Amino acid sequence: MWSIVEADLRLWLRMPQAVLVSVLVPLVVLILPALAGTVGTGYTVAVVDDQPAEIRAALMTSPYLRTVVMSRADAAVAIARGEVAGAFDSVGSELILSVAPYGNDDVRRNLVMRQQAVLAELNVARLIERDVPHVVLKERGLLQSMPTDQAYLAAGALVFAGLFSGLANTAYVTAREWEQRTIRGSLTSPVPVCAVLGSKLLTGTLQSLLGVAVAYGFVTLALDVLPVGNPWLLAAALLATVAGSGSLGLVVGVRFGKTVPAVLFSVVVSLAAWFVGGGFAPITLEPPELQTLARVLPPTYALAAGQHLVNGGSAVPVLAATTGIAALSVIVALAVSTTMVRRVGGAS
Amino acid sequence: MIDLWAKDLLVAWRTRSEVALSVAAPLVLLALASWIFTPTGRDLPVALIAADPDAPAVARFEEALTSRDGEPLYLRVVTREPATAEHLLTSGEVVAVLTLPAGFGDGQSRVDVVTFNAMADLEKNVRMSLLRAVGRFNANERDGAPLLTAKVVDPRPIVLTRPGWFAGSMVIYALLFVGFLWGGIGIAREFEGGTVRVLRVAPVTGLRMALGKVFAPGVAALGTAAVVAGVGVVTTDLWFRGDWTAQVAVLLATALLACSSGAFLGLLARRYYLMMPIAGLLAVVLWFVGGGFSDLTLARGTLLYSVAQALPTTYAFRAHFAVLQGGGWRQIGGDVAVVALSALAAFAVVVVAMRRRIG
Repeated sequence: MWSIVEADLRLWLRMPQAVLVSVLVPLVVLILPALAGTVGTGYTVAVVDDQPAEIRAALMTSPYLRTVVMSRADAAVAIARGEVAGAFDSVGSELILSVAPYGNDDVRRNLVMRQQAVLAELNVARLIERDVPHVVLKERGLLQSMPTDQAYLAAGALVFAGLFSGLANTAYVTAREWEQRTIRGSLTSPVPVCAVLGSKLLTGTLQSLLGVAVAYGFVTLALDVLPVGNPWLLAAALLATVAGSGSLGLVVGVRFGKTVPAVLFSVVVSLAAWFVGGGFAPITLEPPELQTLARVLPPTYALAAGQHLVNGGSAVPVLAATTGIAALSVIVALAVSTTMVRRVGGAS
Repeated sequence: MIDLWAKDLLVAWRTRSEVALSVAAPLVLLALASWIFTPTGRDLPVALIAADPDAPAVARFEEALTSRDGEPLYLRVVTREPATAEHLLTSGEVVAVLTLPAGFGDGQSRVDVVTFNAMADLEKNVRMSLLRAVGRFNANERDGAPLLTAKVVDPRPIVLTRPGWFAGSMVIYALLFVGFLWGGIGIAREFEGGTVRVLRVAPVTGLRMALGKVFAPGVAALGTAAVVAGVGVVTTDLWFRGDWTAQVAVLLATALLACSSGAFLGLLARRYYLMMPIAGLLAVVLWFVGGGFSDLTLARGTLLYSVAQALPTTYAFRAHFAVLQGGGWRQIGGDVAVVALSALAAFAVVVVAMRRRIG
């Protein structure tokens, strides 16, 4: 078994492109949080200078707007050119939002929600001034320090690096045996089928660790997102993620028997798991049906464990779930793939 | 050139599972993005704990809280039990727990809110929805005090919905993904299968070889884009409203850019399995950064915006959306020129690289 792992790893190390891709893929993925995190929650809007100071101040201090104060005429030009997402003006008792003629209805929705939020705060100030009964909000967060969008996306991308690498690497090293017809040699050797397949899973896992380590380095050094949880527990969670997705990769590799569809399948499935499992936003924001689906998918727990260990929260239950699922996946995948190999007798 | 083109198309046709997965990738992404990132049809679950649950002001507050006036995201009360609320908040199944004090509604009342602040964007959405609800409640209870009202000015008769936007952006994504993938695979296969030796002695110039290697994936990319566009038109409000000649120019220039870039990546990688992660993830990143996920106007002044401006694919997305929303050559001429020139430059690089590596 070890000799198979050694041979596969040697072959991998002899191909600099393969090693480079293992490193580059997580880095490419991490470009997303690196760039998306700079957007934050603020939308760039124009604020017309010729309006009451209280309204201008409320708009300019809103945490959800990046404001540029300009004249009414300049604001109209900026909107037409798409230099700002919208413009805020007021006439009499109306707070007027002009939406730029670009973007989709979600851009407009977000701008209108920002308008409503500023309006609510302005009206509370007016009610306080006139001593009229009113309601105010006093907020605090469940987590002591709220993760920025960049930190959230970075944790998701880090786990995705593990998911994708484990799945694609194991699927590739397994399918390659069939594609290059070397599987017959392996199956006629005295090594049990299960051990041959186990060595493929081990190879895929070991190959993935380099990419995950580079991704971790990028997250901590380049993005300055320092995990608040125990680093060893985070390492364990990522290892479990790689092994768990590698288990699926093993079955995929045996099933397809060709590297191209096996790796393509891995790309599609891992991207889907990243989206559905809460890698981009908490699953609470998803439609109810998708939340139900997400809760039965193993990657959701891996992504949750990564979030808790990087950004804070109760990590133990999801970490236990992730490691448990990974262990079970390895056993099931070995059993299923062994049965598949025995059934087809090494021919694909 | 034609022989190479036909051969590559034939090889692609023989590997139908690969073709199916290439078409599936943008469709899966379209389905997921539309499903996950469209707020219509879902509510944010909250818990409402009141010291006097039967007080009329509490009922009026709940009515304001769950009102469906205005834009989503709407709020929905899922529990009024303190113990359940705490459990659901910890597990992220409610986004906020609101506690109304005794005597709520008499004079100034403070609503204590604990939010599920797992991400700044989520917290922002929750806070804005809550502020809207408070604004509505205060307006209803104002007792004659003059308050500001809202007005929205949007000159567009038709606004593309987010699923329609995603469907439009997936057309360009499909061109990029399939162009990168098949452009790269077509070259890498020659190296990996050893058939590059045959090419080396074939009486074909580097230019013809490059044309053959770019046209075959070009057909695949345009075919996939057509399928995605068809699915988008049928399932969303996507419609091609602008000048069709401008639209065709955008698509052809983008296809040439993607296939040439893919061929160049294939020459560098020389292993076809390496092309799949490269193509898959590069296309997703370019889709996101280039404005396929959301209009880049929102990101002005950020690093994301600056990086996007340096990428030719951003201009492809921008020109495509301008045409989708009724634009023509006057609006997109500059953007198409950027994409076309980048495509020609990429193609020239491929020709030179082919001469060096194969020809």
